[in-house]
Amino acid sequence: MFRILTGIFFVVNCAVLCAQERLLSDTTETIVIEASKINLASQSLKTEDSNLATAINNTSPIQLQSNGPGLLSTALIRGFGARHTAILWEEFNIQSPINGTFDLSLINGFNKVSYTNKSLSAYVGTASLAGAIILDQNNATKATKVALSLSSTDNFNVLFSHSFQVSKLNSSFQLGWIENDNKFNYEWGGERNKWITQVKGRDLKWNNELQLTNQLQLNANIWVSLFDRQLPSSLSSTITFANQVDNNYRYNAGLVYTSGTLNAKINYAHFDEQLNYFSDVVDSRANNKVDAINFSLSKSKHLINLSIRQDKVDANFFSEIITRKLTSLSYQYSHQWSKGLISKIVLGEQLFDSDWSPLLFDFSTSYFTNNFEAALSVNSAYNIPTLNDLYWPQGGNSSLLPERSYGLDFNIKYAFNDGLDIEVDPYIKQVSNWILWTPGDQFWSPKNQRSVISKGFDASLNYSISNMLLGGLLVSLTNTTISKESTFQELVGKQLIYIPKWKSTLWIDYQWNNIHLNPSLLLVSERFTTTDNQSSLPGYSIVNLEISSPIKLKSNQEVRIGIIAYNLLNTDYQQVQFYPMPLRYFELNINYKIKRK
Amino acid sequence: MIKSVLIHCSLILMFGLFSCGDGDSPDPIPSGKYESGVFVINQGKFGDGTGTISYYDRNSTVSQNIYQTENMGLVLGNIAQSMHVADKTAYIAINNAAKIEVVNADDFTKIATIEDTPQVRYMTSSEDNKTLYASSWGADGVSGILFEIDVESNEIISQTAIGGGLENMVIDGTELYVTKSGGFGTDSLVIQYDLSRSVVEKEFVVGDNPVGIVKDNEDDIWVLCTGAFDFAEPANNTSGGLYKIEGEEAILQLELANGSSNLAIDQSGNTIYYLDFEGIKSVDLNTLETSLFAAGSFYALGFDPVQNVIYASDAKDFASNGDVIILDQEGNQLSGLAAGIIPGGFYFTK
Repeated sequence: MFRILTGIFFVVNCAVLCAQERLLSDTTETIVIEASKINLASQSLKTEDSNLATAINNTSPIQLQSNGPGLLSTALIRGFGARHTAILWEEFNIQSPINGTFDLSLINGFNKVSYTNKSLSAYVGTASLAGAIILDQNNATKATKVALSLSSTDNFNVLFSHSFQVSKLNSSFQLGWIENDNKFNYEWGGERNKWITQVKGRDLKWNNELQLTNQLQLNANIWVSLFDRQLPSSLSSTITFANQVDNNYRYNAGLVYTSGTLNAKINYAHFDEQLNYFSDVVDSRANNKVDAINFSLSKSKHLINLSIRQDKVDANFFSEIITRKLTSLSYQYSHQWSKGLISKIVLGEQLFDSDWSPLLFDFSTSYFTNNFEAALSVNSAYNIPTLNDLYWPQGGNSSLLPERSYGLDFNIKYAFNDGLDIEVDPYIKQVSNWILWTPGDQFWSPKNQRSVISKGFDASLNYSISNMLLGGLLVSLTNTTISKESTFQELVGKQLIYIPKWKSTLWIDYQWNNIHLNPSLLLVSERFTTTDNQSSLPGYSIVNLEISSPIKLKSNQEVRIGIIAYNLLNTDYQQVQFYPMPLRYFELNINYKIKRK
Repeated sequence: MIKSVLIHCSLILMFGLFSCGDGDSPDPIPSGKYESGVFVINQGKFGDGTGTISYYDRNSTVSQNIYQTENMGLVLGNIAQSMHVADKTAYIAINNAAKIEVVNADDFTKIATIEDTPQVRYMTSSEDNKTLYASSWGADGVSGILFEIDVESNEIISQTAIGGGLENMVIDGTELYVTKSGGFGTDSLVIQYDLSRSVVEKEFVVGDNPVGIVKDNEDDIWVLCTGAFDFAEPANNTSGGLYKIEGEEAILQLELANGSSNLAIDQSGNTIYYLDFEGIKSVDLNTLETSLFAAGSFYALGFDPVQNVIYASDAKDFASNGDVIILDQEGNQLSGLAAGIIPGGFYFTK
């Protein structure tokens, strides 16, 4: 029954954005590549300053693996793991080199987030085998905004942002204050109980653009996020709390030169990331200092990128300070065969300490007309082991090989004249040398254990019935199975755990007078919890409803008041076994915005 | 976060690697649905899983997940470590959930939960079955507590901080012998605990990480030591050993491979079995002759005194359901049965 439903309903709220503008471009002018490391179409996520984990869960085909609000949440793109998805800020990956993940529940306040579900290895090297999530800010000039959010789970968030212009300097800063108890009801053993995950956070983003000359621009950005969390253990353990302190200081400065078809960009970043975890039995402290520089030079159809990055990890669980160096070189070339037919070649290699990656490539061709677009990409990717994989004292395996993959990604879009757009993106990707921690004689150790094939499609449909009524569906089918296994042959053909075969969303955006109604339905199918696919978590459906209304105070001032009912039907569900998710709860959002002259 | 999970997994794994089969001694006779058979204690997935119990009636029927089945979907909790039956009551130690679930041994319906038993490991009971003794590592994994529990009220009567990560136990008259393995650290003692006065009476020095302890047919006590691991410097690893308590001291009888574990004794009390990296080893306690009983990679071991057969489990990839093989005393495989995730121990009822 569930599968039938998922076949009927599907969606992404972000598609509201697409539906409101023309789907396809008819640009056929001479190609000029921007001097940027990544020149690739990506899908927008409707974040609206909210928590990124929440946005991904409700508005995209990406499967969120979440232990609950405020707890570890990672993105699984097309059946692959968190370590395969880069999280890019200002072109730099902020995933931890120690464990290859980044907790998306700690990302707040980015209002221009996009993702790509195609490998970016040829562009950025390791850690983007499945794709990437790209964090960005859309900074309105000369505006001040205060966003207040209160929820029935005892969460309190304030976001203050202010942008201004002084001569040739455009500056904007945003300050976030997060006091979340994440206190919610859940059902367990026939009883209703309270769950709590306290999160205290401070988040500062400061972005600056200084136009030095007509051709030269200086960018400088700061992102500081400080979090202190009390993390409950799972329902199947004694409910005790561990303390996690996650303090990150990120700085970035870049110089952009633009002159006709010649563009150049140099971009430097320094990160200081601290992650400490304390429980009754664990005292884990880790600090990572990152220095990285990207240099891109493009002329007409050609682009060369050189990236150098060093991670220096000082952790009390490693026997020494570990330094990891990555140097990447890539070349991009685009060729326009005829009007609407463009091919692009991206070739890259990465030097990982003293080892070269395989040749990384992305050959793509796209064809488009006014209302039709088709694209095909053949690409390769690789993923180096994490530092835990290599150097964990009990079992770290320094002879691990990088994971390798080859993929085929298709993309077909069609825009009907009556406001209906459809898109289907089939894909197939094979990953070999899959790294897995497996039991050994004395302790677990990571091995290049298996090969995995993922195939399926992401499909979306957006329908603009009128200016007041939009709707959309999204369906993702993900078959991610073990195709080769070095030890446990009986697992061949089994779906990877926690990967739903189906994920669907249905959304509607209805405007009645000055009131916006946004109901949405999220459907996630059964997810296996054991590698032999004998045990699973049941599928679930979640209905959310948002009602909002903008109130014009003056010509330049507006207040928008919104109420969101999450899990309206009180569905009892789990994304990760024995970590409860909230039953119905409510959130009140008040946004005040003033535009200055 | 993943890092901390890995730390947990490693630590929990160490529990598993050091675990010993429990329940090879003669047992009371429950009557009812689960009156006579073999219980497989499945630890469940590390970190976020739940332990389960499989039951084999020694004929052809294997019932999986009997606790959940008999208790309207209730789950045991994270890491089912061991099981013990006293009279007609079964006790299941849930390590990471710091509790002992008490069930009716006849039908496995829940009776009570004994909470606040951090990192509880193994259990045994007094000869009159009025007191249950439970060993634990303590909340910090090294302090080590011996719990005395009144089986009538299921309340903790006393808890004695002994330290060092307590493991398996055996009772000899009024003395309880408990191995002191060090928990997350290393220790090398066997504690003699006076049951009548509830005090530590004596300590015997054995090899590093003593985890297994059995009593033979002459009431001599044998101790299996795993040896110490030094993950950072493997050259510092120490050998395992088989010790016999003789009078005032424990005497090394056999040097074993590092990592030896899962001590079990046969019905006659003449032969012991244990696991090392080659497979199942047997030792004739009279001659100390050691042989490779069955080659392979096994996770847990038990001896069924009813049918005089050996049970050995395969935890596979630790994320799928494991299975169990049954061997006769010549090492021939008789049959096999399916189990749950990480079958880590056995309990045999007559």
